[in-house]
Amino acid sequence: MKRFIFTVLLLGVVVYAPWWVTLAVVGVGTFVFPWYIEVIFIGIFFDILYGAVGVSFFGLGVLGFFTAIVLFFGMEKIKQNLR
Amino acid sequence: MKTTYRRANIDERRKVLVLAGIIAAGFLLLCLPSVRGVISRVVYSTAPSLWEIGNNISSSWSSFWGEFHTKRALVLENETLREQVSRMEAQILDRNLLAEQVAVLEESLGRNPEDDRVLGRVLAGPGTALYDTLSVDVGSNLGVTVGDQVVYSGSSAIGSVVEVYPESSKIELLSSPGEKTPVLLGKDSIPVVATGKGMGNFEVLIPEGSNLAVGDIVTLPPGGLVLGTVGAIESKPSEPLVRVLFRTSFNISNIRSVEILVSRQVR
Repeated sequence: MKRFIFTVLLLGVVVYAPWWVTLAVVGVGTFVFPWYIEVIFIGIFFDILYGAVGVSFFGLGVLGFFTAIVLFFGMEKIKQNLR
Repeated sequence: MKTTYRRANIDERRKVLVLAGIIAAGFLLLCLPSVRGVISRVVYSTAPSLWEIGNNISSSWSSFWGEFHTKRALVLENETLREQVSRMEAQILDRNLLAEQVAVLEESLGRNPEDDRVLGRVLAGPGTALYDTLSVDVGSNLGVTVGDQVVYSGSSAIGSVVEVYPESSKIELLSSPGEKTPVLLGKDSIPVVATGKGMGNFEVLIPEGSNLAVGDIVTLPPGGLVLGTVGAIESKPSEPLVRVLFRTSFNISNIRSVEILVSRQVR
């Protein structure tokens, strides 16, 4: 339930907050929740909302998606090392 | 013990497979324009109203606290004044150019010098998005189409429309990283291609010895819309080309409204 509420709040953050706040909150989510794959959907939502085909990142408009994947794997690695 | 280990291993493999599936599906979804278009339309059927609500709450909250917090009110007033100043600076920049253009336009027969402009309020901009894009509250309902040119404060070119929805549209800024724009530099109108560097910044390489100075105006070739002013010229003795950095005369993140030239296509 906590995870669901956090994800809904995160959607709100994507819509209203600056990108760096979104990045920080997403970082917290991937660190706190185990296997937080929702972050990838958040990345897709971010790209749909703000990006466009032909804009940034080799013209694919997948900056949020790519960042989410990097963040997900990065945090999983960090958590593994902390265990 | 062995069974537990095996089950855990299967679970782990299943999780990895699900993740790989999500990543592959996500990539396809974002890269296939038809699928992306459908999802964008769904998202943009609600997103503009959410931004409107957010903006209304934000302004109501600001005005409420402004009554109690003089300092906060002053900060807000300062922000508004700063936006006005940057708008006025942009307007002043092109006065001479406009005078010349009027003469040329008067000579050209059969062309209507008036642009069909639609004013759009910015719902979300580079401050919120990591992209150099703007979302505005006008769309196909007011005749906006993909490729329409977008200007700020009358004559500063800032980008073009890349996606159109019934009541909103998305604008890509000319300063978007890697975006190439043909421009005319300075008094000699040196034709070059500027590369966007993000947040209203551009870079150009020109031959050493070109007649260009800091503060010179950069314009777009058709129509002479102002793009920015030269901010720095970097040259190295060992290199034949000079690196020119220029930026828009206003802060991109301060933009609250733009004008879309619905009759003028850039693509």
